[in-house]
Amino acid sequence: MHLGLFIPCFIEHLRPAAGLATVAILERLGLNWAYPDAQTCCGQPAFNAGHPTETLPAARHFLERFDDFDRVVSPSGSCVAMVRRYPELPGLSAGERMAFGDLAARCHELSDFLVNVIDAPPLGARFDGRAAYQESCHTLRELGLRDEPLRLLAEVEGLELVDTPGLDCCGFGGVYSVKVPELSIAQADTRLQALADANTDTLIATDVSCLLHLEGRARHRGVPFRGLHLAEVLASRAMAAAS
Amino acid sequence: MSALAAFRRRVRLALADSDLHDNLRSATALTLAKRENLLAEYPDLEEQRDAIAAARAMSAGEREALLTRAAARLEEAGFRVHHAEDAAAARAIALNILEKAGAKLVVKGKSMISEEIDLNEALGEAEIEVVETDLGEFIVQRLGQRPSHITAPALHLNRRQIGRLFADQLDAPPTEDPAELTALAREYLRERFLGADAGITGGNFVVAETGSLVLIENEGNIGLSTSLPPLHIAITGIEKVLPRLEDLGPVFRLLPPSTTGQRAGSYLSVINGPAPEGDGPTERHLIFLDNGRRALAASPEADILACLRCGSCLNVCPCFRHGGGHAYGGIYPGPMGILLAPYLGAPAGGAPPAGGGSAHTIDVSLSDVCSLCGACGEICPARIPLPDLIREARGAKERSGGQGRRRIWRRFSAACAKPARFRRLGVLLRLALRVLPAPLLRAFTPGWSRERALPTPPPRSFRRELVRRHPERVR
Repeated sequence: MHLGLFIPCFIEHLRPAAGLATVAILERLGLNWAYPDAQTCCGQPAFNAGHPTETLPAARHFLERFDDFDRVVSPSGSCVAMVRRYPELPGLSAGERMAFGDLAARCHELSDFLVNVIDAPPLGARFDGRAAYQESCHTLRELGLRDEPLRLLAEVEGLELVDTPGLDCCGFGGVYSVKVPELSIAQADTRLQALADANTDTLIATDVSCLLHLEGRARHRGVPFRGLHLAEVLASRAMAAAS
Repeated sequence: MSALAAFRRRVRLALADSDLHDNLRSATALTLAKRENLLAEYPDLEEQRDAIAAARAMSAGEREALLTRAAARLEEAGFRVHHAEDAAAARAIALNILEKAGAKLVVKGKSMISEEIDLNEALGEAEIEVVETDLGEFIVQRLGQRPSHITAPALHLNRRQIGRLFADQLDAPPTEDPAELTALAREYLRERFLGADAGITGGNFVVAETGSLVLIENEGNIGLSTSLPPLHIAITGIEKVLPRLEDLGPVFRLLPPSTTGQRAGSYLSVINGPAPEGDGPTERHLIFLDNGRRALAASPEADILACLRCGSCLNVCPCFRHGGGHAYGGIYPGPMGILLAPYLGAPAGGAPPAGGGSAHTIDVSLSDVCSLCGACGEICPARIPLPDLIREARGAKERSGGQGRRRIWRRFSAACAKPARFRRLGVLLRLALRVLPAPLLRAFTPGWSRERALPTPPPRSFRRELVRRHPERVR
């Protein structure tokens, strides 16, 4: 199987460590993978702003770069959810729609790929400390990945996963975070409070965007917070959680 | 001030109110938990949702035909059926009926559509006394407020606040006990029920096949409002018609759990016309209201017409739970409100502006008040794809604002197809975040930076690091 790696913009520029952790996992599993150098953005910002037609050039570029891989993997539930919706974009020819549909079915968020596609053996990760897992909205609801990340985290030695009931959207939501900052920030505060109530400052998620948002809020308030991408935890051998 | 700016101002006030924060949080969490516990034992939940979606999905033409059929059957059953194009017409019809009957005191069942048409204000001006008889509505009416939630009007209040209100206004001993508070309201209302000249209700549904008006409730006040006074007026939207009686089955199974986390509503009234002499109202009227629903039916957001008004999308919406219903500034808050509210009052058959949507939708749209988390679409018992519709509404708003915003996204997308240009943009962004002084960065990003720190990118991007470590993987 020839595997293509898609790295979202957030990770490319703001959190390379999550991408490198993904690379470490693919290497550890001895997979035949490559990173197409000409990859750009999945186009989701335009799509969620209500511009499906304007999303098309990004979608076509994505297809061109990734179509010849057997599978595509990405450490982002949100971007993969976008790729899954390419076939619905307006103005596609029947052939194009089919090509997008075919691509969508071969494109996977990391936990989906590890659990459902290759049924990966335990990765030998070790992480000492308490942490909460956040169900990032698009991973959970658009991709329907509820148990996959948890199955992988259950295999991490030393990790004490705490239950934080009622964790809903962190309040990021792309342009929402700057168009309605009051609510976006209030949602972040609810989330940070839930972590404090659960006696941890560490949150694991499948999307870096959620984590950057919470991190920005926590830093402004001077509240301890450590956001980790799922890949970073799975790739960790002896990362000690800040206590 | 734009609708969004006004919304944000009200949100700031709401967020400063710690009572409101606690009330919203505990009330929505409790209802959602009860709902979830209950539905966990429904083996056929998804089939029931499918059945509701199927009964509620129809084209604009099919909806009109259904309405005509329903009106004919209702007339045969003895209802007097009226059609109101807008709020003013509905108010005039109701007033005319009441004045002809010489009504001076009206008892009302909980009805969002009567809020939509400002009925109480109109009746007040005509010197007809209106008493809300649903406990939550009774409370907000006494406070001179509007409902903050479509099924839980006083969701924003707690028992302490309600106790204070009753002590002030009902001359009652101070208490915070819900049972005692309810008893106080009941005692006050009982006399009004007995003395009322007319009862006014909404209508959860109308069944076309049988010509029935269907009302679901918990407190018995609707039963009394529709059976004690000699005159009953129901007002409902043109979209509330179900084709067959059996379509009520799945609705009745999922509506109460979705609304209040109950297995069933305490009372279900299926009214098939006036009562025989001496046994209830001898005159029943049904007003079908358009008020923008036909314009909505012709819009890309038409699917919202399948809404059952259960309120679960409000309960599960993080925006609603943090900002509260009053922040939306209209009658219908939350995800369903974002979609419905802009069309209220829109004339039917108006030409949609270039790019779709209704001209009416644009100034008042709160489609930005959504992080697209998807929770509302997941919970909706009628399977309405609420997040997709909100995205649609956003697009219509963007397109109506001229070519400017569209051009920005076209440029963005064009850059996505040009890797070198896209990469340069990224390099510039990283550089700006790393070298520009913080106050300048904050000034450039006011939406983000007022109460959040900007991220500081590490020196090397993922790609550069990958080229260094695994050049063989880059192709």
